[in-house]
Amino acid sequence: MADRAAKQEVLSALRRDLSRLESPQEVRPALSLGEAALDRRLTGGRGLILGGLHEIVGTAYPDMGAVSGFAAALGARLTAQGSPPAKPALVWVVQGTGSHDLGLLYGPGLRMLGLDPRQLVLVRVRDDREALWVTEEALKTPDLAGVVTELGGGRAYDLKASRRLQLAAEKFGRPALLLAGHAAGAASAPSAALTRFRISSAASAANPLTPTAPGRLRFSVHLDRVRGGAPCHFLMEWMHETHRFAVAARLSRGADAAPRRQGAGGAAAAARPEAPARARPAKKLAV
Amino acid sequence: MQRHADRAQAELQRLRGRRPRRAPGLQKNSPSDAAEGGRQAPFALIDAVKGGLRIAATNGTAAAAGIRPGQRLADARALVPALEVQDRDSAGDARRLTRLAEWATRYTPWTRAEEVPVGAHEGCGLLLDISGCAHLFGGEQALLEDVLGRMAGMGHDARAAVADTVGAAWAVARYGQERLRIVKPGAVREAVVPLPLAALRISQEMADDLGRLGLVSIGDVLARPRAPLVARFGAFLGQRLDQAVGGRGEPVAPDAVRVLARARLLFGDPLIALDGIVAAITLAARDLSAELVRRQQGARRLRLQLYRVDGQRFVFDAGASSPLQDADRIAALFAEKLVPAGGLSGADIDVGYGVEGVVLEACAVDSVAQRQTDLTQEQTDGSSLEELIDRLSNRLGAGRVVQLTARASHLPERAQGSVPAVSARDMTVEDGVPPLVMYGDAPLRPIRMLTPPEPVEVVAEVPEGPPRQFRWRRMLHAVAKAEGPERLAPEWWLAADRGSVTRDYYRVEDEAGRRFWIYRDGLYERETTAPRWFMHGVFA
Repeated sequence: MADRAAKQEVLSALRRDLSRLESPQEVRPALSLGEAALDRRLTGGRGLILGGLHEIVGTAYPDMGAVSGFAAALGARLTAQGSPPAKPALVWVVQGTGSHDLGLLYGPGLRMLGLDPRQLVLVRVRDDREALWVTEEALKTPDLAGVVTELGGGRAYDLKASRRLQLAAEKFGRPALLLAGHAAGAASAPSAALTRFRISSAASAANPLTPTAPGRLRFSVHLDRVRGGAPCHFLMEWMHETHRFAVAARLSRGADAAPRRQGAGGAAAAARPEAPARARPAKKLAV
Repeated sequence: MQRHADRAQAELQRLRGRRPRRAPGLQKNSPSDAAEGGRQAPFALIDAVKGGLRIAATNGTAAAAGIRPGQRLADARALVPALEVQDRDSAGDARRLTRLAEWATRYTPWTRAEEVPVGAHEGCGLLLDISGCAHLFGGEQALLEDVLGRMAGMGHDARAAVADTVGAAWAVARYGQERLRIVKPGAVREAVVPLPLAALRISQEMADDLGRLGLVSIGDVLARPRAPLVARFGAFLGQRLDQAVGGRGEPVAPDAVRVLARARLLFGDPLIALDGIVAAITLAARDLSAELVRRQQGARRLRLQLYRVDGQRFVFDAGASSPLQDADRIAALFAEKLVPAGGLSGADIDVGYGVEGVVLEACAVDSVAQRQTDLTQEQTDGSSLEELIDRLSNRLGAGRVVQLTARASHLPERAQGSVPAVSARDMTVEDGVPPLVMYGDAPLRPIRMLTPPEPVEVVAEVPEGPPRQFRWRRMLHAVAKAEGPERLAPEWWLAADRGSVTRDYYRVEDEAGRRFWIYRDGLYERETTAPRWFMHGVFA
């Protein structure tokens, strides 16, 4: 097991070297997630590449709330730069249908998460084609922190569309976060995105004030795809006071996270792989 | 107001929007056809008025046989037993006339359609104030010929006249000898003197009464002392006389949109390709931009009109969140609407046989301070987000590009509103109270809110306690952590909240770590004995 992990580490180091060789002089601007352990695993090894397309999908339908939350947390981090008068805005493309029928974005809640609703511009679209068009237009806009786009699960988002967006994001140095649904199929579809985060809900951290109440938000994050890196899995905690992610615990690393998740899919909550780490004593934790 | 106002009036002698199917001879009712004579069947349109059916309009053959508008149908049939008739479609005529008036704004924005009075038997017309714009078309004569020529092309047999007053133009166009007449400035009186009294725009009864006094032409009335006439027939007659021979102004298009700056392009060859039309819009935008820069103004609302060869007009409105001067940005606002981009279909315009004119207008302007452009000529005004908002709003509709606003209400669904981003430019729409989240706690409000809240089946240990498990959207959730209640009372001072009950909100987390906002509607035993539960939002 450790052997395999070491191999993965070597492989991803090689991949990073390769990508650096391919475009020698560039140091692409990146957004640190707040903890080096996370940043290292992403393309480039320094965090989320700003000029790139990043997909965020849910493991199953009930995880879509967590998907929204994860995107909002990333958005909070993206918009946190800059001094108050000229804080960058975030365009959030919303769709009333598809997997996002969890209601409207709610400003007070976003604010408590760290994303200031005053920095949000919501664009309501009718379908995925419109969503992709708006995304591309918004990517061209300077003084914008990024674009979050909800897709409705139509056929419009394919390899070609993802290439277009990736190119636009790269050209203008602005990130596009695509909330691409939750189906298992979405996770295997070809795409030109730099990153694919697969999010599952995770039990919140212990609440120091009221033990029976939910605590800090946690997301179980599978990095299913990282260009120039290896898939891995983190339990990430969102620190809403400081707008950063922290690693709550690393449950597993490398590709061995993949086969386990196949069984998880449905509603059976107890069968989730990222249920408390203590439940699997056989697993060695390497932090 | 404008002493040397030239007014043109084209009278549509017979409006026919959609008759010809059962009356084959109708459309060919031009002077040349009249020469062909007898091959046309006599035909008339009729009105059902009080007292029976009356002729409203005739074709040439019927007119030659002595059938006149206003005649009873029975009398007409007595003259021409073979007369074919059809009901007049007044509403259709009015629609068509309105469209013609829209078309005529290609000449001047001060254009009015004269409504079609039910039962009236004289033709309806268009009124154009061509003050100061005749030269754009090569003079009054050329303008009138252009109007008549194009109308003939559309199938209308029209007459036209230019005069200093609306009244004189109206009279000369309808009762003059020529099909096209230009009354020289100051010669209004001579022009109307020989015309019959009906040319004064007075009722037939009044004309008949005057006739019984021996007054037949306008000249007869003008020669009489005014006071006794007015005493007998009312001030209206005096007003009409003044409007005909001058001395009293008459607005042509009082309700026209106030246009503050305008650029117009008319083409000899109609444009068919969308690219060409966009290029024309860009040219017009440059003209408009130059005008705005000269006045140190920027456009807030813009209107683009495309004139199709057959008289159809397309109107596009666009708004800008900041005063616009830049020609490219102005053009982009409309190009956005016309040209399909990124696989999205643009506005559905059918170019048909081509677009022959483009008019770009600024309908609302703001003053802008002279902007310093730097040496590189780059626009670095930081307005790019505004630009994006403008473009998206114009493309998708302003209501679909919004910003969230905070409202002073403790009821969650009322605490948030949304305003079009175009109008929310300064984002100071927040209450300013920072939300308090204790260290280590989860947010107290969800990130997505369901409107309306959805009912859930809840199992609770005690009726007033937190839920143990619940079923929402057919999925059973076992509650692992819960916090609450947070008690929110209805806003009883609002009429809408009469009869509402207190809600107890719980933040719950199920065993898989999904977090929800659930409330119990009604205090147990105080407000209800069987409280219902609702899902109101989803946490991250």
